[in-house]
Amino acid sequence: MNLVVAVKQVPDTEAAIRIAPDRKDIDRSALPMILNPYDEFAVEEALRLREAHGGSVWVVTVGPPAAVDVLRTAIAMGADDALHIVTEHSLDALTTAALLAQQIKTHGFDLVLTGREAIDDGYGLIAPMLAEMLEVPVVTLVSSLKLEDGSLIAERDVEGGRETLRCALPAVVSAQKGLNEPRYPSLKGKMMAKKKEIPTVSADVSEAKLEVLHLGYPPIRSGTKILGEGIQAVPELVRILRDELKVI
Amino acid sequence: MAGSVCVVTEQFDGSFRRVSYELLTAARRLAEAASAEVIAIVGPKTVAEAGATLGAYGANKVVQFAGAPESEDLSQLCESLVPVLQELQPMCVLVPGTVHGQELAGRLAARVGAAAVSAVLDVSYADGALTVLRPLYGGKVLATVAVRGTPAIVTVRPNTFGAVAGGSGPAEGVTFAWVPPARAPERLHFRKSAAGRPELTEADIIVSGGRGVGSAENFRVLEELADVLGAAVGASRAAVDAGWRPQADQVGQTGKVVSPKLYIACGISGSVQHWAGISSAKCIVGINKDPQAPIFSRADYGIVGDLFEIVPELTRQVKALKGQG
Ligand SMILES: Cc1cc2nc3c(=O)[nH]c(=O)nc-3n(C[C@H](O)[C@H](O)[C@H](O)COP(=O)(O)OP(=O)(O)OC[C@H]3O[C@@H](n4cnc5c(N)ncnc54)[C@H](O)[C@@H]3O)c2cc1C
Repeated sequence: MNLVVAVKQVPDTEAAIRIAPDRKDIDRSALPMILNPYDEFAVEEALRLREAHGGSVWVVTVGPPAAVDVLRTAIAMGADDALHIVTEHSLDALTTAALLAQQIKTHGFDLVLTGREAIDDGYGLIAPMLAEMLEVPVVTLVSSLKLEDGSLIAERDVEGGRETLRCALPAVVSAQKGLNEPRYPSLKGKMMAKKKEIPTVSADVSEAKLEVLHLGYPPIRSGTKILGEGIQAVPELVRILRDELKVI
Repeated sequence: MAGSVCVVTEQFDGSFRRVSYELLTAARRLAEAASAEVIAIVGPKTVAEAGATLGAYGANKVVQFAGAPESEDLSQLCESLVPVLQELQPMCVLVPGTVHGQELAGRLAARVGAAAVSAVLDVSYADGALTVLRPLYGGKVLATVAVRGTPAIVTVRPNTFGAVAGGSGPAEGVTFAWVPPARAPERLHFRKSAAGRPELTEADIIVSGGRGVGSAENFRVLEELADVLGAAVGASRAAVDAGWRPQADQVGQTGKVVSPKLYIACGISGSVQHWAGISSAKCIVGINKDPQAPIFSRADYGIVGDLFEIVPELTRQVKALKGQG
């Protein structure tokens, strides 16, 4: 099995995000960065498929030079090889997908896995875009996956219920929480990852289709009004629900 | 005349999902600003009275596909939409940010080489340019983004815009040929959610529970409140990871992003990751026994105390008010 995982480096979910003075980007200095949490499920699933069916796990990212860290994290978890597509710009989903597709085509694949979305830009579009570009089927938001006679059988929650889908390989899937429990990198894995030679290619990016005009903070709520303690506060809440929110 | 704004409508169980009307409402606003017309795309499953139903929300034309299957699965629509977009050349296509809609949007954008943005909170058109407002970093930042080139493919989460009727009459019907999907996965099985409670992402009210609820059985207390309010039941990651609720109920950064009118967080501390899923709720109420819980520095209203006293009392009083008690 030729397993490919597309991953991204994102700011830690706990990190405070500050907007840069030009209001076009955030202040990236000293921002703690992590492997996108959904991508951990994708890496873990690829490792499990390799353990069950043999083959290799190849991890690829598009990002600035420092993003190599997430490739090392994936290698420390157990991935075999990696490729870093280096770009200094933050890109729209279509451009990112095109860069990934170009490299994945060259590498070859049976299954491409990626996270359901990157938690920084929240697009959730890379998997379906990749699938179109690679001319294979896609199943997004997979929370259960198995391989049977060259086909994959996946389950996912959709609005109104839960679907079970089957499609032939090669294919693209995006991973959702619930798929598995990602492993922690072992000490040995970390040592290996540190020494691992990771090839780079530079991204050839044409004009972006999306332009950030400005960034702002969401409106602040005016502060919590504590209605009181215990059941004494309930009548006031009921009044608010009825008179102000008009939900009852 | 800037042409048209297309809306991809979605159906479930034989009727249009409310998000279809929400998108038409947004499209109408865009179309006015751009002197364009609103075109609703029905599909895959055709609907006899679509012209009247969608016209009432502002569609000028309704596109249906001759020979389409009975499926309501929007992700089947990609191949059929390509010739429609080639012929109509819309300035933008609004797509429901549902699982199937989002998949369709990504595939379609790649197919026609269009810019795509997801999860927008607002769309506007001025001086010949389409701009969108969308959250970044789990809602910690809002970005105003110009989308270049046409068509711009834009997905919108259910419940982001209100659905307001306001069309000028029945829409004109237009028929295109159905193009069978290439490379579509085969659906082996569909297990419908138990009827009765609304979908989390579409719900006007959500009663949500966290670690403070303590067990799967204890969620009964929240379900009783949800039932009198006609609400959905959500959960924090802690409650899902403990196995008290299914993954599909998780709200937050690695769960669902919801935008109800009212979100009642019971026994939820209010971590940044949970907040990422609820920040666009119109009103947030926290019920927590710890006065220092972060939820109390973020929610609109708070009650300090034991949820097992407060929630049943709230249920009782709402019932009494509705004459059900
Ligand atoms: C990458 C990442 C992604 C994450 N994604 C999500 C996500 O999508 N959604 C999510 O929710 N979390 C997410 N988390 C986890 C998040 O950080 C918190 O751990 C989680 O939200 C805590 O859940 P909780 O509030 O239910 O539990 P706790 O933080 O343990 O809070 C329980 C609260 O219940 C109160 N309580 C206890 N008993 C009672 C009682 N009888 N009556 C009233 N109050 C009571 C306590 O005072 C406490 O405030 C994520 C974390 C990471 C690192």
